[in-house]
Amino acid sequence: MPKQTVATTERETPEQERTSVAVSSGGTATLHTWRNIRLIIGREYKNQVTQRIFIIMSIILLAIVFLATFIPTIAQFFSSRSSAQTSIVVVNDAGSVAGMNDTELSAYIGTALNGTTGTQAAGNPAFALTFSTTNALPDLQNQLKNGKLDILLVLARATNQDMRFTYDTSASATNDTNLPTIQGLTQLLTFLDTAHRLGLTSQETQRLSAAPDVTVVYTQQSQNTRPDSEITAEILLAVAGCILIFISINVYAGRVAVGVAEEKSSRVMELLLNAATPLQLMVGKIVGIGAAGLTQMAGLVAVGIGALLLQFPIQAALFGTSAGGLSQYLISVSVPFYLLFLVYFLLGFFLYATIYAGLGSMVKRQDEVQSAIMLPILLLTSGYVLIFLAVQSPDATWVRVLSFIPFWTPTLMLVRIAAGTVYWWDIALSIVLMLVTICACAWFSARIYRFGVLMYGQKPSFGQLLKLARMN
Amino acid sequence: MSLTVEHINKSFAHVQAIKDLSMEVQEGAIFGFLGANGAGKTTTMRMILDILRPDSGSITWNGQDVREVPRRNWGYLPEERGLYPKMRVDEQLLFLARLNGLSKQAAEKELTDWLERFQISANRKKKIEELSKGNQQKVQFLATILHDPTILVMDEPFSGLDPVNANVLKEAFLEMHRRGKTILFSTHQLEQAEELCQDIVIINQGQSVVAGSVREVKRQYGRNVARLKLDNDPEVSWLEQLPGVQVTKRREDYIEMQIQVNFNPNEIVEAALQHGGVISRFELTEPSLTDIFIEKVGVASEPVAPSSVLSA
Repeated sequence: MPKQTVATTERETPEQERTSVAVSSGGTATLHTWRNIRLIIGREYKNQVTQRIFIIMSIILLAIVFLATFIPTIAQFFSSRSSAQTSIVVVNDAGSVAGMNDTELSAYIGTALNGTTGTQAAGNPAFALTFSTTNALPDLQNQLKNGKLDILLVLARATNQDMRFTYDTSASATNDTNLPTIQGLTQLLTFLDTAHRLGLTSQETQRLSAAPDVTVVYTQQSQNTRPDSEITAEILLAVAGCILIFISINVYAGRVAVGVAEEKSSRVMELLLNAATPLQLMVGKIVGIGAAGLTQMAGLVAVGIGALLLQFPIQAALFGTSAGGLSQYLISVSVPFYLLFLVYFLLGFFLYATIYAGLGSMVKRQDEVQSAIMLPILLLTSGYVLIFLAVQSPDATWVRVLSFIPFWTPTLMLVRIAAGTVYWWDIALSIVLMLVTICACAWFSARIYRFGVLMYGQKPSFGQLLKLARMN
Repeated sequence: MSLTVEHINKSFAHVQAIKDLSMEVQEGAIFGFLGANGAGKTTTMRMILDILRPDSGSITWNGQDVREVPRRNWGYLPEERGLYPKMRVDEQLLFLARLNGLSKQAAEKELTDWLERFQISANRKKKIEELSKGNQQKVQFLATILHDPTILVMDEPFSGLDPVNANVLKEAFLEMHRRGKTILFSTHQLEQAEELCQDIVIINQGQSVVAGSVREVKRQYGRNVARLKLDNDPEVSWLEQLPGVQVTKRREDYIEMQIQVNFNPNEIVEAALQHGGVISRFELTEPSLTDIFIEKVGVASEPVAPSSVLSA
């Protein structure tokens, strides 16, 4: 009996110790814990935002975002300003086409090329149409060569009276934007002319060319719940969001790793460990740097939205129309999408930052950080690359499966939400999985942090890491 | 009222860094913690500060486990000096003092006082990396004491300082002692330990080899030291033949020997006169801590702690 008692006591010792650890970091010292974490967050935040590189980068990024929002407006401005009128000369050698004389034909072609007159609110019609005669052909050919004329279209008839068109253009073969329009026009004229020659009345011709009456029914309900414009907008934003997530996790989580290595190599760590626990240090650092990152992002988003809103009055002033392009996309996207974007961004940051912090504590010098965080960087990059495949088949099984793997959830889930079909439990499950993984990584990282930060020898193997994590 | 270390053990991987180490630091005392490189001094200090945990044994402050003692009672000066190189002196010290439990106002007041006393007020707004080494050490010292801790644990506080700066720090060190702080410090400079400490412990390979008050340690050593110089016989070849006398050093201006406590030093003088020697110097002294240290730890004592990752 006594023997047994001794054995039990001995076995209990480590457990008691563990409990006391838990108590000292969570029970009696709760007040200190929050105070310490707050102080560390404050230091990390200030340290980040007062760094010259942070300020310079912020200014550059703000400038880029600001200018980028102006691109659609600027493009629209230039395309409307440039006299993009195409001069076209039609030479009719075919006589009456579809029963129309030259005047009627000229009016018809003008409408076909420029659309119904009056719909173009501002500016000139796209095509400046003139009729000419066969005599002028050599002169017109010359004008084509020296660029005074863009298009020369000659209408003629083959021996069997079918229409024949010759299309001369000053544009190069690779850059001929007018060809489809002219082809459409010639098709139309040939159709009308043939119908006329076959003796059909204009009503008969119209019936012949009427659009087929087709009713489209989508039996899959979910496909129909959101308007197309919203899906397009969300895909666009999801891809932009993924790029943002990729870059910012890389930058800010990377700063966490560098920060830990910095404290270690400057040996301030030992002082800190005397005043705070490794978990406090880690959490404080991650949240502090994350907050600095969010500040930068919030600044970018605020400037971006502000500049976009600025486009409305500018575009209204320039073109007399309301804004189009990106601004419309931003408005048509639903609020839950933005919220989920924020959630996945934060979860992704915390996941990678926790891992980076643990790995950062293992290195001796700052220059070793990059190689230490190689593996998570690969994971992050693959999750980023995958979105370009996933966006094409967002409901494919492999996308669904991979989107539940926490390292890829932030990017892939965002694409699925935007482009595919997602149920609420998909989102819930992915968030829960991420939270669980973050907790596991935080636990593991805090353990190796405790030992890693006092370690200045060679790098331990993964097996040793696991052993460290199990140690008290 | 004391800091008590009882039978602590600590192993890293396969190496036992600390073996059954016990010591007691009286409240308000200056305690010297001596040992060769790698003897386990830093590891022990980290365990006292609860940065590391012993595998077995207990460390208590006034009967309370050190883990339960509020952090602000501890002041730590690590051997590997370290502060944030790019952070301003005042921000840095305020951050550390507040992290150690001081209020913002109290921290600022203390900071101003101490910067004044150390004559580095002009450096208040400078970054650490812009300071001279001596001033960095002063800031490091302030980082240890600013939050007014009860127990100071200092790892090699005076190493690498010029005499002027060493003196400034020693004054502050003694000021802390006058304020009743309990000070545990490690050093290689044994003369310093002799000068400052009431009690010492010498550890070797993680084990305590000598412990007690400085006087007691010297008495326990059981030998005295004599120095002799004969003008006409610099070799004094007969000296080794005297029973109870052991020559330890031959210097240009004297020969140093250890004599057993019960050996009458007059016999050396008599023997010298018998050999017709002209005595120009004869003195008796206590053994220095250096002698004791070298005998106990051994000149050739290699650091046993392996250069393994875990021995840091």
